[in-house]
Amino acid sequence: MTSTSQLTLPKWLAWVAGAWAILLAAIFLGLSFGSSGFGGFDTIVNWLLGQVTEQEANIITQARLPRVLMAMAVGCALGTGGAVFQSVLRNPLADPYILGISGGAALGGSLALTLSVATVGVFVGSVQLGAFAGAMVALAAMVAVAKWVPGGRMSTYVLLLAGVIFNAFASAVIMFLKAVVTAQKAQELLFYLMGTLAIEGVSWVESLVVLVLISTVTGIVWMFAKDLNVSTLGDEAAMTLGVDVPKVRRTTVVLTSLAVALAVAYTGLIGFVGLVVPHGVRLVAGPDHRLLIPLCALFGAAFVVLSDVVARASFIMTATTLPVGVVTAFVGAPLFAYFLARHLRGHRD
Amino acid sequence: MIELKHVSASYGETKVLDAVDWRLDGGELCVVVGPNGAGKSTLLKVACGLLPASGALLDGESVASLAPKTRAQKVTLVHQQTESVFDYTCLDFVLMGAHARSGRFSFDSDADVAKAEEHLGTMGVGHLAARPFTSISGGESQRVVLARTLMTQAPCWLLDEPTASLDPKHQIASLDLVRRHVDADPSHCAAVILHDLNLAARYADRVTIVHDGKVAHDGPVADVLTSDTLSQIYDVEIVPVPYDGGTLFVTK
Repeated sequence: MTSTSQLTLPKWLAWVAGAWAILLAAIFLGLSFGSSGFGGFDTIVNWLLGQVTEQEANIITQARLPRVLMAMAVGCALGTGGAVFQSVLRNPLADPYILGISGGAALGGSLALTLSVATVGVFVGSVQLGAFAGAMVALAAMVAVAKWVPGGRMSTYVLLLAGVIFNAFASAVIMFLKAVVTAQKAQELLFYLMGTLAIEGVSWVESLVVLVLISTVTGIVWMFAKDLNVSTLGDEAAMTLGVDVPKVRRTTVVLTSLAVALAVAYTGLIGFVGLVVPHGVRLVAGPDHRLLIPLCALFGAAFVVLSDVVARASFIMTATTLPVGVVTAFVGAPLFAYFLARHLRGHRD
Repeated sequence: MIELKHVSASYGETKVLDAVDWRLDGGELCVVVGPNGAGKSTLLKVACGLLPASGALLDGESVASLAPKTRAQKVTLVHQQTESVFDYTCLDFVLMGAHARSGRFSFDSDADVAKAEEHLGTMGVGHLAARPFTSISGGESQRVVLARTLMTQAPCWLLDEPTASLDPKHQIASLDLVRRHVDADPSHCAAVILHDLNLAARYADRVTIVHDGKVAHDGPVADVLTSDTLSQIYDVEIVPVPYDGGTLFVTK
């Protein structure tokens, strides 16, 4: 075959194996280094051989492992979510937050955080629960809008606008909350909204459960990869070629939204991952969702794990651990500008 | 094969088709003509189930009730414009034509890729296989879309102005392809929307004139494409001029 765009099993395996290798390297770094002085390239080997103190073992299993697993989970959710939202909405600038998930999660989490604990009868809510509930309310609102709007291209615009309006309203409420709470609460709120993996009290088992749930969702969405390829040609063209467009759109958007909601409920809003990772992957591996989705999941996970390594390492310079969202934004914004410039140059030529 | 029985269709409050009866049988190439906004594109959308309407039948079954893949294996529609948001190559684009016949998850087989390359070659755009679909011209993209139509293997083709962006040579080549498709098997058929009445007269077995959401005239070329009918429908004087054993239509 003369063409280079043919996706064969060996080509797919080579890409996925390469992405796994990069993710494993990121995990290795994530477990080996942190804000404490303990660490080094032989850390993991020593830990596996039982040649570390109990305190050092605790640093790995109680501090670093939950963070690395949660970083993988959120990176996987945001990377996959970005790829799916950009395809389904046929908008390269879409990210997993665009339909109001961010506004809902931020508002729910902020309410829980500013009210400390929301007590309703015997039910005691937490920040995570509040954020997840907020994201679900946003998702339910979007599903209702989608059902209300008649089909066709217009429905995509209406959904996007509804998401933007919802996010703007949520921001307004959050600003109000920040204005009326104490300075310390406002600081906590700021950290949460910037996205952080400093998730106190979350065990590695809990992080692993979140990762498994999100990976499962990614696997299910991957089954729609060929439908998503054809869907990017537009609703009518996709339907003509045999795609059940409403079903594919509903299933993939709801599932990825659930995954993103679960992730951001723990970590807050980590920005740019859902934009940069899918664009970067498309640039090097092409737009085919059979490859794009697993690569976005793996590279998204690696990107957040590595960003968190940098965030923790910043402790040496800043005497405080930066929120990981600051690092992803620092790296992501210029990367995204580069992708955009490259895309525009390609079209001008 | 396709039958519309008293079909009406609307976009919101606007009625676009009004109680239309129309059919397309195997072995037939029907050219659909009519003024802008008459309802020609809607007729084809209803015929392939893209716009659900009661009374639209495909092989005797309600086309809207068919599973999307089953429907796509029987009938395919080519739109006036085809867009691609991401940089799929022309080869990827043509391979998508096999979507309805492929499994939920499969890789591109050598046989499918060879077929897609052959179809691109048939349309004279084999050299574009590795180029992004977004980077080629309008005329080239129409030929790539026709290559994708070949890839579908659907017996019934519905084509909405497939020659709009093509130069005369490629207009002829594209309509020759449609003609060959129809003649290849008695179950094959095609309905093509054209504005060029000379091409319509040259290729049609039957002509349908759509006007104000209704089928105004339907029948053999000689019966339908007359000076009186065309002048009345288009509100401009059109005269047939004998030329080289055929007829040319000229506006006055």
